[in-house]
Amino acid sequence: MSMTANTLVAKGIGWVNGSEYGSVIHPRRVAYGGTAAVPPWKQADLFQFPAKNAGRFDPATRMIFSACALALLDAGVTLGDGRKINFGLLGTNASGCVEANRTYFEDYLTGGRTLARANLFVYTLPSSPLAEVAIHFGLQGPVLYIGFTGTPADRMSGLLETGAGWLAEGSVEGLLAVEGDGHSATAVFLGAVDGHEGLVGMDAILNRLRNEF
Amino acid sequence: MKAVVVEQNLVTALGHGIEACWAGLLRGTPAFSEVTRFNTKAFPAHIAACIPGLDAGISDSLVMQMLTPLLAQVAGKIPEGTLVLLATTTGEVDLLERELLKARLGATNHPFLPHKAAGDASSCRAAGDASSCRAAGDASRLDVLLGRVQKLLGVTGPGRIISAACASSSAAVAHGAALIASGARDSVFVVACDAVTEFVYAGFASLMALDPDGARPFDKARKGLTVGEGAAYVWLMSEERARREHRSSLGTVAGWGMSCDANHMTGPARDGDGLARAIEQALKQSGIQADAVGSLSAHGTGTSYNDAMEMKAFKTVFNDRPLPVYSVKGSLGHTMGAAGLVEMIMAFKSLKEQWAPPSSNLHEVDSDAAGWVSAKPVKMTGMTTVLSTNSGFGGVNAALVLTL
Repeated sequence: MSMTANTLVAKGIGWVNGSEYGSVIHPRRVAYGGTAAVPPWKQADLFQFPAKNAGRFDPATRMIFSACALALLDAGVTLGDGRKINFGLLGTNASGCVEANRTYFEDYLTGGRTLARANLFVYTLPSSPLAEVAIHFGLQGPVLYIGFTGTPADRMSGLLETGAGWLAEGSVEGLLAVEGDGHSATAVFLGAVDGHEGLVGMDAILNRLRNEF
Repeated sequence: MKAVVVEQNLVTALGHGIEACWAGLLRGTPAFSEVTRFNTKAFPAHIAACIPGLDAGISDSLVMQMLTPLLAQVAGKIPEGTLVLLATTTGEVDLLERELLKARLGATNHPFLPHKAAGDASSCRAAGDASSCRAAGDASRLDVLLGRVQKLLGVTGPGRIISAACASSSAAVAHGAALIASGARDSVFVVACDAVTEFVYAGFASLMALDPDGARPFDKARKGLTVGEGAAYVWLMSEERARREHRSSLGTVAGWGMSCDANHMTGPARDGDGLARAIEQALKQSGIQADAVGSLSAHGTGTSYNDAMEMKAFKTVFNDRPLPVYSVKGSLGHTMGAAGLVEMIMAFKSLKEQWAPPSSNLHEVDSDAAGWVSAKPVKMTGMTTVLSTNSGFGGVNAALVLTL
């Protein structure tokens, strides 16, 4: 493992699933749905500033967006006020956007095969949920979806390695690495060692994720 | 460590191979024709840049029909340990179309339904990835396509899917070159593909992004893009390994940069700032000065906003010093996830031949592109560097600095 991977710091980790959401560096766990709290994507304070397009997000975007917002909150990073910053965004999952593809094309067929819905078409790219995150939080660094072969741990490991490379070459000042789909998402806000609290080193980050989830 | 290209090839609507594509680009003739593989009656446009001979009615997906003969040229030659990167936007989405149409229409003899549907679990298993094909429709998953590509290549090692909208393949090249530069890899095989499907055509129609008369990049009267299809590959290797194995370099990926506008899902930032940052990053990384760039291979989709944004970015970076700017999309259409790789291969050809190809289908150059974009090929002398750019949904941008 390179020095870069050893000096990688997870400053914030956010997560969400079908019934709960929370964070890891500053641990919290909140239930939602039913009689409990409203879903995280309906809580403007989680996004720090209102997300103007949240109402049309597809399920994967809701989850990924929420996890990223929670990771930034966990790291104490305030974004989304219109300011732009050189942070990157890396995403992965097991199946790309196959559910969004299905939703879009079924809707098109239901409509008589005459006019598709643009609001559904825009989510038929694996990178689309990431783009929504970048737009809201003003992330101007690279935005990239990478699908890895292997296990979920392999996927997050691959993302962290790629992120470490971006930080090492100086192309970004920080980045979000997120694994997610329409059912759950986990986001890690990464930076380099700078005295702030967080999990230091890729092994420590991966172990913590393995233990938490 | 620099990344050099040791093998490359492509197939586009202009034909199979680099020479056919290059000759077609120099002729400046659009490879657009009436779409026959699905009904376009409800859409504002009816043309696309389709590869002759592809058949939507047979079991193989459209991209597999492109990739099977293309990758046969290098099958068995890729050494173990080579990382395979697959760049695509929708891959085999025609398999999903078939499945959903079949379920809805309940018949197999519909005029726009293929006779033999391949999008089932058995074809998935045949691709060697049964575990990921449990649910119907999974045949269109990108990881399944990656497995098929690896099988065609005869490799069993790791693979990755790279998706950054219509900048996917230039992002894949950037990712591969970065892995080589860092020493993490010394051999990366990049494959890109996308097909003209009803899925994509209807989507662009819904965005009012199709020009009924065919894409006219940088034209004053441009109205949108033309959907195209294609497949391509480049085999990237570290300069050191290529030298050690006595492989000729066909070109060098000297620098790369990526950025996001962080502005809008379907439209670029009007000021071109995001693309300009990607270009500046690529130039800085390459160590090549802006004034050494000989020509610009633009994304040039033919949409009003994209082309205007690109010209702003180019003028920002190159200080209003006019350079030959061209777009191949007036000939090849927008090949989406394959666009960056097709354009990179043509950029290397441009360097070798010392010609900047014309922007096809250009009738009256827009005022902001005047002096930069030409309907005729431009003879170059001593051109050493081409800059290739791509942008896509979500405001993603990628720039590659290419040298021989």
